Amino acid sequence: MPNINMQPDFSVIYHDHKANVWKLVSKYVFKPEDREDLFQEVFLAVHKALPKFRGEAALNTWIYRITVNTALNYLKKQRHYSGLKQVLSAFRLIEAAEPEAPADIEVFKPLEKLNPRQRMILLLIDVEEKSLDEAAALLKIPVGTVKSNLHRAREIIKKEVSKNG
Amino acid sequence: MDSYKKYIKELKGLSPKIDYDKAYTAIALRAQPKPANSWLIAAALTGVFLAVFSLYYTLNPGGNKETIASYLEEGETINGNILMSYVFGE
Repeated sequence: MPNINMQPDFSVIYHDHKANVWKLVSKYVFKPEDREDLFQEVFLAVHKALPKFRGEAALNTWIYRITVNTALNYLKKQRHYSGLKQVLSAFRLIEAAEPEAPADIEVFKPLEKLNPRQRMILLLIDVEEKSLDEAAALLKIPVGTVKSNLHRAREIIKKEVSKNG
Repeated sequence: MDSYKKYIKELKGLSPKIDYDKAYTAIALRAQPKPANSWLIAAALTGVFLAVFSLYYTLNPGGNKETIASYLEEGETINGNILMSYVFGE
């Protein structure tokens, strides 16, 4: 039997999955430049991991998992970086840049109250309409943890939404 | 509709724009293997050389008391071979 290379081509993957990846990352981080940066990071991670893809999971699930992990790490890194930036600007080592506000910033304000994991769980389940089991598998955490984080995230959002009228 | 459901609906309805072709080009550029940083290589080689050099003289204190001039024949100038003989012995 001839040895057929079953490795999917990166450009095909990009074409088939760009819209889904963008849909998730564009709601996970809010600044336009961060969204695009995260989008690129996800596909760079896909490109890097592609030679190791054995086809054990569906390609869609595999890309979703990379997206979720990259997004979680991105936000954690960003939090550390913004803390460092605050310290540096406090000592006047760098200019405190004015944050660029996207037009839809108001919508994202309640999401900013959630920690990275709560934010991802809420987006996966309530916005992307994944099941609890799917979210647990994507995040590699128990279903119970997903449930408790989702409950907490919903409570926080409800409170914020009602506060803002 | 309660305010939470309304909020989620609003989130679902958001569709910020992206130029997929431009993003693909940026990804392709970032995915290219980076050439090794020549400054880092030069610094590492210098570090290794200095480490070996200082280790040699630590292990052989006073091992080379002759001056480099004593290696030179009359009219000869310093060259690479003489320098190596001076540093590492005949």
